[in-house]
Amino acid sequence: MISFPAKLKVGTYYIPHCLKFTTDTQEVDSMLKRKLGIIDLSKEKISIQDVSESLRKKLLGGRGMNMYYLWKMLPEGIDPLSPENLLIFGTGFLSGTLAPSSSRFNTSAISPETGFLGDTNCGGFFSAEMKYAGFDRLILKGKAKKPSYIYIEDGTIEIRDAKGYWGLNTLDVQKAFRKDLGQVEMVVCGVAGENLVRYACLRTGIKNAGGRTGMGCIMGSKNIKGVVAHGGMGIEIAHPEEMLKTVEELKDYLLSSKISPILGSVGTPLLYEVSNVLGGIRTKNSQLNAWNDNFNASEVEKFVEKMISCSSCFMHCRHRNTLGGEGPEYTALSLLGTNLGIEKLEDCIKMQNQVNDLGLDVSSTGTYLAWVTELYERGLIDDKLTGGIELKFNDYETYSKLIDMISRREGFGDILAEGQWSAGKLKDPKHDYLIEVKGLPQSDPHDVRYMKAFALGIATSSRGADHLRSRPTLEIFFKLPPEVRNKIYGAEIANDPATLDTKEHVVAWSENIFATIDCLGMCKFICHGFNSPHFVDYDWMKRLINTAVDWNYSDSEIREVGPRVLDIERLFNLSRGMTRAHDTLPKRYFDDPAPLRTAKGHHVDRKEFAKALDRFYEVRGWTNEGMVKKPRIEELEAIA
Amino acid sequence: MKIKIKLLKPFSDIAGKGEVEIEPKGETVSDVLNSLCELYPELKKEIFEESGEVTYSVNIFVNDKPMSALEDESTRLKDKDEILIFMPVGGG
Repeated sequence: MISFPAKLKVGTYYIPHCLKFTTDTQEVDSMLKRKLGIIDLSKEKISIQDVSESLRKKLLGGRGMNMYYLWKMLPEGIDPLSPENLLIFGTGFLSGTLAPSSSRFNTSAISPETGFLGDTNCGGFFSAEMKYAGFDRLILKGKAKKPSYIYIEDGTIEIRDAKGYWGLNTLDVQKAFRKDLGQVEMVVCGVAGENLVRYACLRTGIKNAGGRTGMGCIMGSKNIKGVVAHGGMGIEIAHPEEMLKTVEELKDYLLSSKISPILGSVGTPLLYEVSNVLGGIRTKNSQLNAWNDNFNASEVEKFVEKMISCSSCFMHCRHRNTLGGEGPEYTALSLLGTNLGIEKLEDCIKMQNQVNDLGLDVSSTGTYLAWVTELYERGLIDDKLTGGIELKFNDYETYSKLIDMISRREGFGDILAEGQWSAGKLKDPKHDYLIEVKGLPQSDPHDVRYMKAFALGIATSSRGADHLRSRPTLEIFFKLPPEVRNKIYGAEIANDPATLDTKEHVVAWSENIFATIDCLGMCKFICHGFNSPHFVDYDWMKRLINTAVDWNYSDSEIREVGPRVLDIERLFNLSRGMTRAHDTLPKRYFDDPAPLRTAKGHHVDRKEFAKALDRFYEVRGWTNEGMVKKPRIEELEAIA
Repeated sequence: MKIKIKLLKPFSDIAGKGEVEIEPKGETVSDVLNSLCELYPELKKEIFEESGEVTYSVNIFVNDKPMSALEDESTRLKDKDEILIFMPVGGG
């Protein structure tokens, strides 16, 4: 137990062994007084506003509050790349506190990659620093007249000239900001974002990425290179001793799990071997579902320099690699490895470092490259379109060259930079060979033909094919007693990963709790149901909230947050033209049975899927067409 | 009867190898696990709860099926069956 003076006010907290506290001379106030900054880049006008406590109670922060402002403020029918689009950076409710793994923030807009909801969740150190700089949310609108960056410090916001920073890759620009401005934290885009690649990502640190849905592209479209934060404003915790006690208890609880040590020592590459053995690894654009053992964690370990963490995290699941970057995560092993038929792990890690430095999304980049390789091999596209580039799997040199061309929009790279919107030019107008949902390439390496709850989850995810909205890992906890499983999900659940029966409950429950933890800014790695039935559940969330603020937040209040976020996201998407038809799967998962290993012969039956979707809508309280019902809309519209 | 056991991380690290072939003292999965833990005693606390039940955070497949889809630890094995032992985790 760490002992603290009774009246100490908790200030900055990076990692458990490196605590910093505010001094008496620094400003300290409640986390409920952190501000909303609205920055009109076209008019160079800045407005700093308070946020009502009633609104915070309904949506907490992070993803939920971002969704509220996006839904309320964004005009319908706009081009995502137009100045009218918004770009919202929102810290998690508990970011900047001692709450474990509370490093996360969400960035949201209408997506240039999909045309629907754009939203990405990111760790690192930026979220805490933004809180210490006095803000829990920034909304950017309009477009800067020249390349610029946003600087926030102790309650102030400036739009500054980005001369000297524009044109730099994500690592170099962060080094330059640090050299010029001192110990700042920042979120930046790379050259891919500047060049409006539709799946350009945000980066903070070496590898932490706001990867999905093209938020780096939106930064580029607004002429914004980064948001840089420096803060000394401590956060007053309502019950600091109680928070310390709760955090200590929670830490012991999390570390008592058999799963925690392995996550901290091996990280996500652990998943590769498991998925590969079961036949669940996307391989060669999902023409295959298993690959070689070269990407096993034991091989990855040979490239690991050390394990590191985000702020306030004791899991430390990220690798610093010996090739000059961080990672690879499980996702990179597949999307820039097996999915491209890469044989050598070193080639995969080098490509991952390159993609990170240029500011591209790993998942989308790997999916698009695999897609065009198959199209080329099938003869749907030829050298005339590719500019003489011959495409074949396991060709590291060509893929590396293409990654660079994409980020600079050169030659064939300019076509690929359009992502799914280039389908017409690539002779695959219906995306028969593209592994995407709602226009978003699938995020994770899992071939979902065997694991049916995973399939329903990526089909219904609000931002497109993405596992982090609902991945029910408990589906593969085969030894979980049925009564425990049924209690968690609130319904009787079939203990068979290959059936869609009852999986609507699994997906909806997971969506709700993951949305809630996104609002708190905590990492899903420690979320109940994501990796273990024993991690942070609603009770823990409630306890942490009630130590941070004087709310006496109830069980029903915390459980209502997730469904509220999901319904707002649905309304946002419906207003952009989404229909039931968008809640579907890539053609290959329906029509081509998996060819290898345990998953062999499995696919998703279209009729069974339609029935599961009916049941899912019913659990969500939506109509059979996936519409949010009128009384619920009125309830959500009344939130203020 | 010979049974091949494939161990994934972290079990392979503890045993010091990823594949083991054993001749169990009985015919069930439970017999195989007990024989395995006799060979590698450090595995016992990773696979079993103190109560003696297989812990929820271990997955065991018999050939291509999770043992929960068969008869759990009582599943009877035959010569040359393969067992896979791994820890289920999620992530991205």
